[in-house]
Amino acid sequence: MSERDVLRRAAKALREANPGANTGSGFTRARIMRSLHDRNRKRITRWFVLGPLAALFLGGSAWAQMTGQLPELLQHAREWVVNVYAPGEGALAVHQTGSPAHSRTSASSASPRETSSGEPPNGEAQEDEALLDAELAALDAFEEEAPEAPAVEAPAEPSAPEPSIARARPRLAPSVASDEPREAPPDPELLVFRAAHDRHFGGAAPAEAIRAYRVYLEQYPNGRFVPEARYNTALNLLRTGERARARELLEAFARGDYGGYRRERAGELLEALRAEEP
Amino acid sequence: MRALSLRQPSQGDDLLTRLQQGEPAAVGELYDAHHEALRAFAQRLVGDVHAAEDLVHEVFVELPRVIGRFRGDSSLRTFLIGIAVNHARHHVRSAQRRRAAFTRLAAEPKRAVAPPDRDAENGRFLEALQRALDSLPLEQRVAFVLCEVEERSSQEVETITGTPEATVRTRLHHARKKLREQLEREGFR
Repeated sequence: MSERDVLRRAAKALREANPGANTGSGFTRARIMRSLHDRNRKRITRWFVLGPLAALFLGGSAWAQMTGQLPELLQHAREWVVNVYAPGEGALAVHQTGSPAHSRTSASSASPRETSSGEPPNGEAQEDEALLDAELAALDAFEEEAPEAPAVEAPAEPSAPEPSIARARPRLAPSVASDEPREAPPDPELLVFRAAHDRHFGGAAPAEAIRAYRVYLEQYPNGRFVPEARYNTALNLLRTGERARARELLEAFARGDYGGYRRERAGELLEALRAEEP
Repeated sequence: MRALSLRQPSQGDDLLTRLQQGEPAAVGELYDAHHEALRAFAQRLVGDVHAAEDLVHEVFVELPRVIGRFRGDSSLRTFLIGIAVNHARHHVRSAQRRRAAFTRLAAEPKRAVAPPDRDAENGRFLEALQRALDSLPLEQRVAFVLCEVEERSSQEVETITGTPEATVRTRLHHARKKLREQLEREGFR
């Protein structure tokens, strides 16, 4: 095959593999609408709430200045700020609720992004990066010694026990030292999960992906990829039209049963489902 | 789906005005008209269905903020693809890292051995192609997808990417060379 042929084949393969159709396009549309409405609502809130507040503050300051009570007013305001934002300490405390809970830092070595819990979020992009770091760290775990991980609670399900899921530390083969490269046997849990992951991301039929994730969840009900398996199962259930089952799974994420993992996305999808109901 | 452009001036002007005002319904109309073409480009560029969907979402959410830069010298679809190119870097990187993570575990066979057939061969070729695309710098990847896969003219690509036509052709040349070498290395000639 000449250069032209192999590149022509490459272009054709890429074109045919990605025609642009997606059964989830309706949900993307709903997500977009929700994001735009949220942005508009925040803008309106800024004008209609902060505007009067600013006017009130200016008016109050002017009145206090005229009546000689300004120093006392400023003292009260300073005390209020300290009591609300730093009770007893003087630094910003947990009222900064904007940061998504990176409870999936249970995956081995946390990335710098995950450990900087004091930083406010910078859009979903930061959250996705941190989640991917957690995933990659989990996958790397069988190559390196993983540090202790916090437990992640699983939601109650009739068919499964209701434990706290402690992320299992993968075991290396006894003969392999931790500093020797890549001689540890493959992690069986990872292999099972990967089989499902490949189906999900490799374009297999949604029913096939659902079956593969079910195999993983049955074999590893407390496994470290349970959140991904459940979330991706929900996405595939949406594709097959099984909305009730999908909704049930998504509600657990939206409730925060898995911390911040996919919490916002799950909320958006549930909103979209509700919007489509007659 | 009808393509919205300034060839229908009164309709286009009205839509542009509504977009500039940030009206969600206007964004919805544009989505209905162009989402498939934009998604196809995103999937071809990023190589990951979910990352591509996120990119499509980002493009339309960003649209009201950047519509003021639309001068009417191209179609709205071209403008949307330009936004996608500008926002693609993060999504391409996420998809690459996801693929690289599983490639590290590729010592064992991924699936049971199956008899060779056309679909399996195509699947292997697509995987090799994705690895080859991942080895390209983003600018060359964009040039290859726009010029070779989407078969756009280099002038149109210049409008989309904001880079001169000569630069686009140079990037395409390097992309073709690297892709050919990489695919040959993987046994596809």
